[in-house]
Amino acid sequence: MTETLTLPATRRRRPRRRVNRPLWIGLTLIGSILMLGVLGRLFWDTGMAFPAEAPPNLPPAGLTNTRGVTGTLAHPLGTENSGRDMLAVLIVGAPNTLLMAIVAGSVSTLIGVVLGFVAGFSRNRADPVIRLVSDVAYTIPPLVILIVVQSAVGEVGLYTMALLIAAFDWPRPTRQIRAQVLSMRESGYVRTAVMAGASPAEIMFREMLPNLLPFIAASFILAVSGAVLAAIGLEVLGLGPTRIPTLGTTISSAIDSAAIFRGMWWWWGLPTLVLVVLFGGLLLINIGLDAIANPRVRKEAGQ
Amino acid sequence: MGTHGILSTTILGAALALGMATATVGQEVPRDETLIIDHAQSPQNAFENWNYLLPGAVLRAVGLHQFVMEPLFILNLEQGEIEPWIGESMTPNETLDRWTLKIRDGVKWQDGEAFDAEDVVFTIETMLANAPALRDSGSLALALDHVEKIDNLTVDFVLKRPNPRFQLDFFSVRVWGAVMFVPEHIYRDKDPLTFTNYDIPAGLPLGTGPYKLVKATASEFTYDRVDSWWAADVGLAEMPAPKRIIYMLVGTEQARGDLAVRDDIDVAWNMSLGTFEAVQARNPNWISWQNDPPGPWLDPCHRGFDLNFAVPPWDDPEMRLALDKGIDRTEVNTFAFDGIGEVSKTIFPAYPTFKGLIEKIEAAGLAFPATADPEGAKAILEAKGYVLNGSGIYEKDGAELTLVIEARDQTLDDIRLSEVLIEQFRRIGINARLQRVNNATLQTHHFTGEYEAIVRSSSCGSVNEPWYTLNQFSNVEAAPVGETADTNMPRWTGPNSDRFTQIVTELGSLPLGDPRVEELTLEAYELWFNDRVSIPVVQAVFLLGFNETYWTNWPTAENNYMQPAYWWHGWVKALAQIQPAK
Repeated sequence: MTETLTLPATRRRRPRRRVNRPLWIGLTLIGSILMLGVLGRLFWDTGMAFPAEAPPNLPPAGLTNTRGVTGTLAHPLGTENSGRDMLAVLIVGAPNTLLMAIVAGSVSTLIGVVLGFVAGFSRNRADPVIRLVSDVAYTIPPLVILIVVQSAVGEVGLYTMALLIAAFDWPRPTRQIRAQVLSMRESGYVRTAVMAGASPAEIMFREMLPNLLPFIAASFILAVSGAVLAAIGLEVLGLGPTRIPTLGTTISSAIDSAAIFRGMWWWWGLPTLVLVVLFGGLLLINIGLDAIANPRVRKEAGQ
Repeated sequence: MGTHGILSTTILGAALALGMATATVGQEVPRDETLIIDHAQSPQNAFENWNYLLPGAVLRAVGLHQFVMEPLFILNLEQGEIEPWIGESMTPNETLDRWTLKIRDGVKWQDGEAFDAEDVVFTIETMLANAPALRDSGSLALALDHVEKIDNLTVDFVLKRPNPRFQLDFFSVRVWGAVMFVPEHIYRDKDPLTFTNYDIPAGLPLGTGPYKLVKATASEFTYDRVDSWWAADVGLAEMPAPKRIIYMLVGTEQARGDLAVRDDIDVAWNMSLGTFEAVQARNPNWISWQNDPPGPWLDPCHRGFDLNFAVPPWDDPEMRLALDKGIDRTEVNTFAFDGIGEVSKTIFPAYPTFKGLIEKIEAAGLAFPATADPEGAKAILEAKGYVLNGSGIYEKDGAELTLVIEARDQTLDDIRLSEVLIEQFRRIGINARLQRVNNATLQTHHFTGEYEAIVRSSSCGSVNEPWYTLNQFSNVEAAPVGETADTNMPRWTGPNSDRFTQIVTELGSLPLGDPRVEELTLEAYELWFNDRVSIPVVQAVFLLGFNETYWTNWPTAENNYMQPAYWWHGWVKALAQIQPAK
């Protein structure tokens, strides 16, 4: 007892904020995918991500395929049926999938923030209209509509696809942010700001928005995950971009060419693995952001 | 019983009724008496229309024209002979402008009515009266003036001009199909443009073959063997052994491989070499046309594309030449056909019958090159005023040089071919892209000319003489874009096209084997080649699979009693030779 009371001042430690481990691990995983895209382009010939640029059907380096051909370091992750180098496909395809999802997530979150604030804060006639439209839009199965639209449009690029996905994903952030704004509107500091004569714009952007940022970030991450899922769904059905490789189109062509049946695991397995990393990263970021945005979670985590 | 109870009972009852209806399609047939055929097509949404007179009626090839309807004659590509089937003989007069058809005595429709001159005359007159709206009627109307019934089993065809190939071209299944005759007693009071010919309880579609349609869905067609078949009665063929034939639209190659390994199909559509080897490794009962090592059957058609003259800048032959110079056919063969195809040198199939002609075409410098000439292609584009932009694509007046290639979404070969071509075109600065469409849409676009480039070569037809394929590009039946054309799908017009048509018309009137045939062919071919009217790339290969678990005696290169093209009209002749394994 005495000892504990007489601890030297130098050994006393200041309470430190715990590292938000899920957030950092998540960011590292997503960062690794981005780095794969950025550094890969510097060190690898990404032209080999297109057909007829490498010998077809090679296994990864050191392994032997069913025909007795051994893979080489020239194509360390092997090649697929039409002569695409798998490493080049991943270098081009993984960031493409992420980029598309980030664009889709940003657009739908932005729409959600604007509409959520307008509906939740103003409480004028816009609110029931936005609520009704987003409620109705929420019930529409997006994949079905996307399939129809994609079939009608024919070829779609990455950004068209991102916008199409965003066009069906905005009701969720709209509803969530509207609900947050409604509850925040009644909080003490907002009332104080109102009494102090702050303008609605000041209240929204200076008082409420900064407090909602972690929540919006979490909503954005959800939107990005949803966009990856929607894109993979469309691409595996053969409705994605036809030339630019993405993770989904690579899996789609692997399925079309019976890669699983032929034992060419590197063709479908590697993009699947990257997808696992991508979803894992997004999930961990979301958990991390939740710890920041949600006081109860923070408290449980001891922060 | 509460509302919920009533509701669930009703649903259960409905479900049971539905289940029973599905289950009671004929009697149960054991697996070893059933032949299951895989057919690579998109789901058939119009599966309730079996009026095979209509153009683009793709339902023909899902069993109907193989096993229900029968041709007059069958050209056996392996034996090189036209073999009589429901027709007994067809002979021309000396001037080749009147052909006399003798129908085989004893041929019967499945309802017992005799197949006779009435049916032939009625079908031909219906086609002539509705030309060119009905399938093949446009080209038939160009060739044929009228038909005359001589007696119950004899019909005379009076032609507009001499035609030594009349029997071969219209009635002998030269490639894929021939004119199919309708039962006059069924069709006589129907509108041939709107009649669906689909009423299973009433026996429609009605044919003369040994099988009847008993069930149709968008993805599966079931046929049961009839009790008696005229061909068995007259001793022409054995009654086929399978009691039931199921045509299954399998879809992906993965599904095809899985079904093949599990013996769930007996005949498999074209597979890539890797998949076929994987199937054989797990189920050694699978064989192909060539075995040890597995090898393909060479279809007479080429895989390549038609490029529409009606879509600028492809109305300019030099632009077409530039595009052709961008193609590396050897590379396409390696990457899209696993190296087992035959690179196209001409539009004629690399069959022994064309060996001499192909050599002469090569000697005249009119053969398609095996490799690309990207510099030559770029030089042409630059001479046309195109300038490379920062993305490596040629531009003119601020617009990129683009090309949209349509290909069938369910046909892996076509997709792989298009993907490699697109890379090759991009290497010469053309922003090419693929548009996947279903088979029916693709056919419609090809017939109506509503496409830019389409992977469905019209350079298909000749197997033993050159006229037929050349005639595919004759502009006699020129149709504007939006209207259905039977020939000249690339919409080739202009003085070269006119001269070509003139030569081909003359060629068409020469008897087979006439010494002028070769000279005129080379003259026409030069015009065709210089304008790159259609662009063949690789002669189609089919690595087909036949399963010997339940059925044997499949046609193979060693046992080549008939071509293995099980999707062709008249394949019932091969079916009659297939035997149960046990």
